[in-house]
Amino acid sequence: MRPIIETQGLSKRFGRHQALDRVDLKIEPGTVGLLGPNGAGKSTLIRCLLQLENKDSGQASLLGQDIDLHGREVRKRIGYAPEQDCHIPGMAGCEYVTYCAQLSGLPFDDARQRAHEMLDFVGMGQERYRLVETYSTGMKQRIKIAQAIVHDPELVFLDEPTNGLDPSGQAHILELIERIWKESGISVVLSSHLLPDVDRICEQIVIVAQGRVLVHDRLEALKRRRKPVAELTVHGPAGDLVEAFGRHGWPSEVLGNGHIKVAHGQETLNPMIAFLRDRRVAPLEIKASPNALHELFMQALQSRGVTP
Amino acid sequence: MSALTHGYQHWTGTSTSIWQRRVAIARQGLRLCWRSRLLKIVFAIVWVSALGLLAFHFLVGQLLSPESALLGYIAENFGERAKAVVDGLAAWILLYPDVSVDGLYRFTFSYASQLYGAISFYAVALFVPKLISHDLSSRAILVYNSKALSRFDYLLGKFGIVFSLLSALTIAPLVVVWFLGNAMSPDWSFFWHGFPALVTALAVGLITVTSIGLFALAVSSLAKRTSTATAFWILAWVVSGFVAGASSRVFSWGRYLSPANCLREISTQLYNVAGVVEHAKDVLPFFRSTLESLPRKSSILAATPTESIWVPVVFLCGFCALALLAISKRVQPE
Amino acid sequence: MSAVIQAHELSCFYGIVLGLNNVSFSIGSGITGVVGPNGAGKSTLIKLITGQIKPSSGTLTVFGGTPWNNPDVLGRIGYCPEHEHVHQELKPVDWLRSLAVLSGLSWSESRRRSEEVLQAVGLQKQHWGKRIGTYSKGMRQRVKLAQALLHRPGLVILDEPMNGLDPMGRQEIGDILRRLQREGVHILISSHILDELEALCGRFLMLNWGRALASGSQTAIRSEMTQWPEQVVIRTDRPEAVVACLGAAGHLRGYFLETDRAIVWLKRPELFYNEWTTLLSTCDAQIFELQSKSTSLTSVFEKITA
Repeated sequence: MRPIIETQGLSKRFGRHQALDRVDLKIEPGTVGLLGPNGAGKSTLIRCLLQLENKDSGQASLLGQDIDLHGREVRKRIGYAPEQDCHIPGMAGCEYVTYCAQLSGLPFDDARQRAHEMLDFVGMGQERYRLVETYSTGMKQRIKIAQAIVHDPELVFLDEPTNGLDPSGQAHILELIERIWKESGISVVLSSHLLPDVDRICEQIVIVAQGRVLVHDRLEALKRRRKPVAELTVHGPAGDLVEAFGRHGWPSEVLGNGHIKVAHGQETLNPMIAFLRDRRVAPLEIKASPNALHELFMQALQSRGVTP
Repeated sequence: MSALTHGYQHWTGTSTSIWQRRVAIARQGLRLCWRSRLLKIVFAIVWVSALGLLAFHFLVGQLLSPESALLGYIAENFGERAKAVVDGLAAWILLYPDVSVDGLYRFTFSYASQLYGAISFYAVALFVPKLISHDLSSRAILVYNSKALSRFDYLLGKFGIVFSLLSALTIAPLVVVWFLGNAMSPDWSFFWHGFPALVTALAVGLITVTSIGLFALAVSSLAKRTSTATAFWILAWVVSGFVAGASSRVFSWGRYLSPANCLREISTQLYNVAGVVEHAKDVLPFFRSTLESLPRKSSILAATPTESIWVPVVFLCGFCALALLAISKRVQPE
Repeated sequence: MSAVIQAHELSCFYGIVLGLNNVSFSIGSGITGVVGPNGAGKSTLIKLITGQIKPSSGTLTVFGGTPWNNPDVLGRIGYCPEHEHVHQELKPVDWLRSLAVLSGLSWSESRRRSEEVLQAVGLQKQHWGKRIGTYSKGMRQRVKLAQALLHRPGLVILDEPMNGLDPMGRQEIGDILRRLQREGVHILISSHILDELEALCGRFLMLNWGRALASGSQTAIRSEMTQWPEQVVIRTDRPEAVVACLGAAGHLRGYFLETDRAIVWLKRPELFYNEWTTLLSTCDAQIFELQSKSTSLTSVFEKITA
């Protein structure tokens, strides 16, 4: 499969700050989580790929096309939902999405049709006939995603798509993003600080810090390399259970929210289930490595000596 | 093909060319600017006055043709003597159509060009914020740049907006008047004799529209709010006029520090109405006294070119270059 | 446990627009999270507690007194707002000093206190000499928190403190808050990021449309909502086997199979939870995870606000 993003030696400097330092990447199609501390170079990377900034040196290609030669034309097949609040003023929602489709190369009739289809896809009803300036945060995020996929791209960049949304809004947008990959096969590059969201949606992880790529791997593979940890929720007091786990050779502790964290080191939960059955304990739930991504992230940063 | 067509559907069609996308930007901008009622009123004023100009040319044409209804009207109401005088005048004028037709068109068109140029200044004040200012304040450049467009395409589309609007205000009326005026004139040769005037009108028009267009884009890109953009526009012209006036006392070329003066000078030079009057003096000695009194009555006729046309052209190019610099610096995706 | 904040039939309207509607709750010590969709009344509640507005009716007491126009009470509250109105050109110590002096500290005392507080929030000394305008989001958040702690408040209120911070920044703010809690400071956080709150807060107050829908400890809320969750997701290598197993035991009301998991709806949840360990040990499948869809804070939230 042709990689969706490929860079060699990509570098960009702002004054004395080296935002990107000879970045080499080769990303396969799928859902990609782009993680990194603030100022690490995530947004600079996206901006350089989309030619919103001029890179200092190196090569980059999107969907197999070199951006220096075909940058403008390859953007016909790329969508971008920026983090900042941005829109084209003076238009209603459906007009705006139609216009965006036209700017990406769709003829007017197709653009208008697809605009309404995409507004349905993101769950926008009658609001589409109101001016974009009057929209709430949730609607603005939705219309950003609508304009990013209206021209049927092969690759979509989403930068903090759940920013400023309340929990139900966040849930809806996440569901939407999942559907973008599953239903349509559009590759998604999700740049976000909300690790649980990235954990849920992304198959590949790229961690960027201080302008360099620290980690680039499939999430499954990264998790498998760690020692398995489980988090139990039980009714009633946890102290005895923690002791029992300890005696069994599985170090565990009670967390601040009342759950029990057990480092059982087994590939599946079956041994633990057998143990619990024997002790006649019935937990409400057992989550596997719930903070895996967070710990992987911290580990990656610390191992390269990145300090906040 | 599955029975259920719900869910995401892919698009398979041919995409548009880059020019179609640029035109899409221009059309959207035109739609936005056209919403202003004041702008529609300005357009109405310009085209109605153009109608008036057309009527004037028609009347002159009628005066010059031997069997026109106008002459018959004069004969009935003012007596045969008036008709004879008019006949005589007409005969003289017809003898030298290159002077009379050409001169007439040049005279009226140079007035019209200057008038429409001034009106377009006011028109731009009405829509200057809608060009780039609003895009800057809502970060639209970021959206545009992430589409299949470059900054250059965006600016070209925006320039298309102001170019179309100003051409419709300054060039199109004159072209229409020229066509219809000549079509309704007594002789087909009027087309031939009036042709230089048309070419001059087109040249002056294009120079005016292009430079005012660039200045409009520059001012629009310097401001983020509606009121600031309009204020900048008005202020820029007022200040440049003031500066030009003040510095013209010190330097002879001081007056070229105002783009308005440059445009006016270029227009005068190209139309060269004073030259036509000079030529007319030689050719039509009968009218010499009248012609000599004209400069006192009209500044356009009085303005004789003092320096070559290249001086204001160079200054104007300088201003345009400054405008382009401002635009390229300010129009960035944030 | 004495209540730090107590509200009794508290209402606040802006003309005809609803802020809070007949709300009664009591917030005790520790870290409490205030959760709710946009327009629920969170910002109104915070404005009432910090004395920016007066209730339309009902009572609100903080530390036993009403906040409105009451410097004694307000002096014990520290407020870290959502939006930054920090002067970009100042250095943090200077800014904090001026605020400290306004709160009544002497000039010399203010310097010592400012530096103390900057250290408490973990802003390293090397950054103190730079202007606030050059700071990253995380550092600015810390300065905001520092100004809230200047006068040693007993109650600190934070409005969306984790917004825009990267995971490291979030962890650090979380650590600082936990440390403050250990020192005896009461903390009230309003946030949209439920996962962060779940890890940080022991107690919650859930608001929607100006009404208080739930208040209490995490486990209390959850167990009251769903003592026995009905929808369970089992991640396994053989979902059909698991479903067959559970079906044979008569537990299933319905199920949905995906390639790597089985989503099941339970007929009699209490019975299931009593015996699922035995059941799943017998069916021939490797289990990777067993999660109840309806007990995470997010799903509780969705259920309440639906």
